Parts: sequence; structure tokens; C-alpha cells
Amino acid sequence: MTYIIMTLLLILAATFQTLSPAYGILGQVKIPILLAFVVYYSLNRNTATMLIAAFMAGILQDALSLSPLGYSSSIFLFIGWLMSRYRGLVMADSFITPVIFGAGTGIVATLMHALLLVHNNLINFNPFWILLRMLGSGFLCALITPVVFMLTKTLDRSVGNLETKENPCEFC
Amino acid sequence: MSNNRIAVVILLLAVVILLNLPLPASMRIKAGAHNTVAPFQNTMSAVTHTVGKVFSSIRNPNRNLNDKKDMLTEIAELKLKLKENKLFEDENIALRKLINFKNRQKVALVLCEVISRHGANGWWRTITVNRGSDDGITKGAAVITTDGLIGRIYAVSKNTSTITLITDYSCNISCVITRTKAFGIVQGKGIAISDNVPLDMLCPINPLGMDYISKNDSIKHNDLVITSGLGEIFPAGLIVGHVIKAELDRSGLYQRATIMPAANLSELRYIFVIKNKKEETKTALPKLPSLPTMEGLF
Repeated sequence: MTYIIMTLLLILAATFQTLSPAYGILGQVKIPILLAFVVYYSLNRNTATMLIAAFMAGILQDALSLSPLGYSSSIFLFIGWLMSRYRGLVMADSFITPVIFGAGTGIVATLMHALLLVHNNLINFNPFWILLRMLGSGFLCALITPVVFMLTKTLDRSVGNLETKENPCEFC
Repeated sequence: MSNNRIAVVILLLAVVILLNLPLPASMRIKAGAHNTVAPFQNTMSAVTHTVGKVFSSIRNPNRNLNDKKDMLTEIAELKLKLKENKLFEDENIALRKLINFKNRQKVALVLCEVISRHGANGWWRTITVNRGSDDGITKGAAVITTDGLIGRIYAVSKNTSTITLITDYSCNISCVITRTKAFGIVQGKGIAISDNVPLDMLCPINPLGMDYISKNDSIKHNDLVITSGLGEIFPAGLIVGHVIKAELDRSGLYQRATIMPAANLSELRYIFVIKNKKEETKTALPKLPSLPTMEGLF
């Protein structure tokens, strides 16, 4: 059940992400809904589920853009692993946690993606544009992550994937 | 070994395999993902468009009526032009027959609807449309609107196609300035054109640049730029845009111009893909007198 829900949510997230407008003022960045899901699974579910979610979200993101397959998966897996290491130190149920983690992961993921693309000569190197995109991605991810947390937690609890107020480390 | 460790090892292996996948396999996976998401995109795109139309009609109730009147006038004008053009076409065919020329190009258009823009991450200037290989669209085909060229097909799946816009850095087009017949290469500058994005304050909007124009040609503001047909990617004669400004390159060897695209790339909804680019490639040229051979010279 967990994986069916996760797959459906990720496909829907990818659809909304591709349909979301690319904000010029934020460096043409899209609303990073898939990344917000990676943050959610990193802070709320066990490591195996998080890794699978990160891998699938990465494949979807790369497949629906011109990016070579595997770039986003590597980045999301790294970010998921990093967050899951420190999730014991934060309160996943707090409102401020997804905001901070969302902003941080938005910036880091964009920087890592930019470095990979520039290194492989797939985009033109423009430091101003990349910086704008990092800030834009951080801002949008900080906005969308709490929404994703709220909706996904409600759904997960309603289908019994997540019990109320449980410690996420219990799954580890 | 715990379940988590097994998952880590398997996924790391999967990432390594993904990163080293050959291009055809990678494109197949991408096409599969596009086909999976396409129905959702189509539905969402239709819903957002309908909602937008409803709000637009509430804000401006007479707009639809005015639009209809404008369209009827335009249809009448176009019908007249079509009749005129038919006469020219007949005359052209007759003249071509006289000098034994065949039609070089037969163009068929596929009408497509835009279902998403700039992919999933916005690094590239692309659009996705709701027609694919099932409708006869092939990779590399030119994409136009009624105003001019907008890009080319980058990838095709069964039901969708991804188009690289001419404003993308990866798009290079061999073009010619109609007034002077000066050739050059038009390249995208990667910045989207939009009326409602105040990017001018942050960085200048130079949507297209045309390089390698001969420095002896005089380029003027508003000169029309069309595709030259060289390189055989884009058919000749497609309108690309107009010159905004031209200057000598820093090397002093050639001129470079800034071009504004003819098509409004920020408001793309319906576009046309040029299908069957070349049906009859054999052109019966008039017979030329035979040139002297090397043997004859010595």
C-alpha cells in the first residue's frame, strides 16, 4: 500500500511540477514538488522507503526534462540520505522543520544539478542565473514543502501508512 | 545485511546503470515516462484552460463576441488572399513546367496543443505537446506558429513530443536576412520572452543572437530574418524574427545582430509541426553544358 500511494503521489507531483509556471523572476525555476516529497519521505518514513521515493522522484524529474537520466536521482538520494541522518535531531511534526529543510534542500539540489550540468556542458555557465535559480528554488521549496507535508501526512494517516504522532525512527 | 543496506546497494547500482545508459535506452525510458504522465497533463491542461476561459469571460463578457467578429473578418480576408495566391500558384506551376522544375517541398502540418512548458525543472527552454509518433511526428522536425518558427522536435514519444524552443542555447539555425541576403547563425540566448516578467531590471533580454554576418552587409533595424535551409534541419523561408540591433563583433571579423522572435513564445497554445519535410528531393535541374575535364586541359 505504501508503495502504491507513493507511486501515485510522485506521478501526480511530477504532473503538477511540469504544469507549474517557470517564474522568470526566480530564474525560471519550477515549483520543486518532487523534491518536497523527498524531504517528506526523508523525515517521516524509514530509510528504504525514503531511498525508493528519492530514486523514483529523480527518474521522473529527469525523464520529464532534457536532463540525462540519473542526475536528479543521485542528488535526491544524497539529500535524502543526509536528511535522514539528522532527522532524529529535529521535530518532523513542527511547522518550521519542513520550511527550513525545504529551503535548504532547494538550494543544495539546484546547486548540485547546476554543477553537474555545467560540468557536462549541458547548460551555459551563468553564475548570476544559477544563483537566482538557487534562491528561487529555496524559496519555492520552503513554501511547498509544508503543504506537501500536510497533505501527504493526512493521506498516509487516512490509509493507515502512518499512525498518529508516531516516532519516525520506529520504522528504522 | 539489513533491508536498508540492501536497498542502498541496489539503488546505488541502479543510479550507476542509469548514468551509463546508452542514449536510445535512455530516450525509451523518457518516452515511457512522458506517456505515463501525458494523460494527467492533458486533463490538467484542459481544466486550467477552461477555468482561465471562464474567468476571462467573467472579467470581459464581450471579449468572446469581439474575438468571434475579429476571426470572421480575418477568415474573409484570408479567403480573398487564398484566391489571389491560387492564381499565383497556377502561374508558378506553369512556369516551373516550362523550365522542367519539380516541386521541391511538400509540407504537411500537424496541429498540436501545448501541455507543459520548460519540462520538470526549467533548466531548458522547451515545451511539450500532445502529439507524438502516432501522429507522424519525427525527431528534428521544425515547429512553427502562424507568426513564425518557434523550435524543433527534440524527443518524441507515442503521444507527446518535446520541442526545444529557438530561445534555448542549444538551438542553432542557419538564417538569412531577406533584404541583404546576408547569411548568419541564429542562436538562442536562454531567456524566455514574457511581457509580465520584469527581467529587464536584472539582466538584459536578448532572446536571439545572429552571429557570423558578413561585415560588408548593412544591417538595419527591423530587417526580416528567415531560415536559409542550409543544414537541412529547418526548411528554407520560415520567418524567425526581426533585427533589433547590429554591431561589429569584438574580433572585427563579422557582425552580430540581436533578433526578436516573430512568434510570441510566452503565449504558445497551438503550434504546428512540419511533417514530411521532403517528399520529392530529386530536382530536375536544367542540363548544364559539360565542363572540360583535366585530360582536356593538359
